[in-house]
Amino acid sequence: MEQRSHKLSIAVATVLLAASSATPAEETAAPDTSAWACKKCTFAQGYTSEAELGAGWLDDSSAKFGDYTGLDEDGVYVVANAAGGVALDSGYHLDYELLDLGLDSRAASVEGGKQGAYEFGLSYDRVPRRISDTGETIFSGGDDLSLPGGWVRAGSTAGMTALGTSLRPVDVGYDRDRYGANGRFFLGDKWTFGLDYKRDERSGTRPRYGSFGSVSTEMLRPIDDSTDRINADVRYQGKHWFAQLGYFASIYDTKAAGFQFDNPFNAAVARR
Amino acid sequence: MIKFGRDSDTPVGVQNSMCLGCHEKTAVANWHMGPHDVNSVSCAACHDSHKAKDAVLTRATQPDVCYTCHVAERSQFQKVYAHPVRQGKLACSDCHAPHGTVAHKQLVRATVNDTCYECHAEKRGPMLWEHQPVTEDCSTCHAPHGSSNPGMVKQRGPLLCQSCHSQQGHPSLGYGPSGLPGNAAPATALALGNCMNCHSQVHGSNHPSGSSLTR
Ligand code: HEC
Ligand code: HEC
Ligand code: HEC
Ligand code: HEC
Ligand code: HEC
Ligand code: HEC
Ligand code: HEC
Repeated sequence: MEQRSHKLSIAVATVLLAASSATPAEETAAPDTSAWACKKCTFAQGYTSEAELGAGWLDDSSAKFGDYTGLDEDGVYVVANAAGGVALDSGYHLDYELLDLGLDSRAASVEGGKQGAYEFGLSYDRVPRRISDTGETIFSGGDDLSLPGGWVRAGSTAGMTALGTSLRPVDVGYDRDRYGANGRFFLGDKWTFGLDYKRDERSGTRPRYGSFGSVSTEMLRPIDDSTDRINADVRYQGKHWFAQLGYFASIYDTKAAGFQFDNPFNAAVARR
Repeated sequence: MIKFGRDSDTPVGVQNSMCLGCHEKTAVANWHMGPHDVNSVSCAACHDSHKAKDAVLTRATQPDVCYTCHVAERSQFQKVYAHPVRQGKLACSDCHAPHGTVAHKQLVRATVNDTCYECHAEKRGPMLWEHQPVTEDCSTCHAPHGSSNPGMVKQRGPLLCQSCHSQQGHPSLGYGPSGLPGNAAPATALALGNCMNCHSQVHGSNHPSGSSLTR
């Protein structure tokens, strides 16, 4: 079963008549910036790059330690980071960053542009959610959980004689992959156009409870969804005011909207 | 001579107007609407401007810049159940626009909920059976920075639910040691997910018979 939802909003935002005389900027008379140069700015010219390579060793596995860090399994880790870029006199620049390569928390980004003309960026980031690595479950299947063969139904776990032999270990958690792309264009010094796209994808499992009247069981619910967001805006800058027109859309899509499970108890409903 | 930074004796307004001269029309167009301007926070209090690496522009180092003034927030993000800011996976600026907005608490979207839906769109619905406080404001139950309770809720269940719902109908508190799990008359709502053992769909349900948020 698939489920989608959309949300659109178009904002005719902020038409500001400069909050003029109240601001100190105005009292001291706005400076004329046309002839300024940033002499002290230490923007590096030319190429720069740095890299870091390391290894780590974990003697035990722990979901809590690995939550959001990706360091959940024991063994050897290779940690690699790198960053660098290029900046040219003509105003072009390009920078990149790579973080935690070799781990589940890896991230990468590139950004660049030409001063006063355009800028852009691309990014990727994985957020590892590690909930438990000591879990056990009797169910098998993704969005259609069934009981093992030979399961003995009962009113409480005491009577479920097949429980001990039916439990199998499971890791609980999911990854959230975050992607981003954005750009901004300057047309003269009055018009600015911006576009920002983001996508989050999640896949894995989370614990969930399921009830049958007065009894309930804990299970794993599959997570398999994505969210896309698009932001666009156009801005016009006047002398003492600016106007901005914005557009925002968010689209949610899940492949795990429906979910069924067997009843391990001997209650009236065998499946839900 | 205009000096920049927190220790400067140049009035903040004069310092900032220098930066705004070049930057007002793009990056910081809403500056005069925000609490940082109103409270005389200078650009240079956050920016190590025009350095090759400005700490406030990097996700992993940005929070430390904010914590120099927002001390309480540092401890909120240290809690066991918190948004992964400490791990460098989210920055303050994922949720806040430090240069000013018209939104509540400088959030990046118009409302708290719209901000949360940026990354938790699965909670947006539309739901067939809504749970009223969810649709209204996520922060009635959640501490958005972090909390000591699983799922970043402000209080543990069943107390969380009972801060609004009466116990009439199905009492759900243990009245003594016998109410603890494993005893003769355990209060069913104490173990595991407490109220959520049955009302698992606290954020709303799309099941045709999900009116009591159990499926
Ligand atoms: C002479 C005009 C000028 C003045 C004055 C100025 N800037 Fe900039 N600033 C620039 C330019 C040009 C860039 C290059 C970035 C770009 O592509 O837009 C920049 C970039 C920046 C960036 C982004 C750096 C990055 O890595 O993306 C920050 C932050 C910044 N300036 C802060 C400040 C602050 C704070 C002040 C006041 C102390 C200030 N600027 C004063 C022109 C100026
Ligand atoms: C409360 C801290 C804070 C203050 C004060 C502040 N900034 Fe920023 N600034 C930030 C953060 C955080 C970012 C990164 C925003 C993001 O990633 O969305 C940023 C980004 C920028 C950028 C780069 C924008 C881009 O898109 O790359 C410029 C330019 C800038 N600030 C200028 C200023 C100027 C000028 C002032 C003073 C009028 C100022 N800032 C005051 C926190 C601050
Ligand atoms: C130099 C001190 C200083 C720094 C650094 C600073 N702030 Fe602030 N901030 C303030 C002050 C003062 C206020 C207004 C008073 C208050 O609400 O605490 C404020 C208010 C806020 C508010 C709004 C609170 C409200 O009640 O509306 C938010 C959100 C915020 N800051 C976020 C940030 C973020 C994010 C950063 C880092 C990028 C940051 N601040 C850095 C001083 C600072
Ligand atoms: C996941 C989103 C999120 C992140 C990340 C986040 N905040 Fe917040 N923050 C919120 C929300 C939502 C509120 C408003 C809560 C409310 O309405 O009670 C808030 C409120 C605040 C306030 C006002 C507190 C008050 O008592 O009025 C400050 C200051 C603040 N945040 C600073 C920060 C700083 C500093 C960071 C980064 C270290 C940060 N926030 C990261 C969502 C976030
Ligand atoms: C910029 C993205 C972003 C925004 C905005 C955001 N969150 Fe989150 N949130 C995350 C990430 C990343 C996690 C870590 C788990 C995951 O990846 O799902 C998380 C985790 C959580 C969790 C705990 C989940 C767990 O596994 O226990 C709760 C509760 C939560 N967020 C509530 C909120 C609320 C309430 C808001 C609005 C104030 C909000 N979030 C806004 C990104 C975000
Ligand atoms: C009525 C109280 C309540 C409200 C309001 C509420 N939540 Fe929750 N939320 C909970 C409880 C209880 C949990 C489960 C905590 C646990 O894991 O023990 C939870 C868990 C979560 C989780 C992690 C588990 C999951 O299902 O993904 C996220 C993310 C979350 N909430 C986001 C939100 C967002 C976004 C909103 C606003 C749209 C919101 N919540 C409003 C009570 C609430
Ligand atoms: C901030 C107050 C508040 C909190 C906290 C709260 N609720 Fe609710 N809840 C409401 C409101 C308001 C309604 C709608 C009542 C109505 O329509 O009569 C509601 C409705 C419900 C319903 C549907 C009841 C029905 O028969 O229509 C259930 C089930 C429910 N809540 C469970 C919970 C659970 C479980 C928790 C704890 C995780 C919780 N609530 C926390 C305010 C709250």
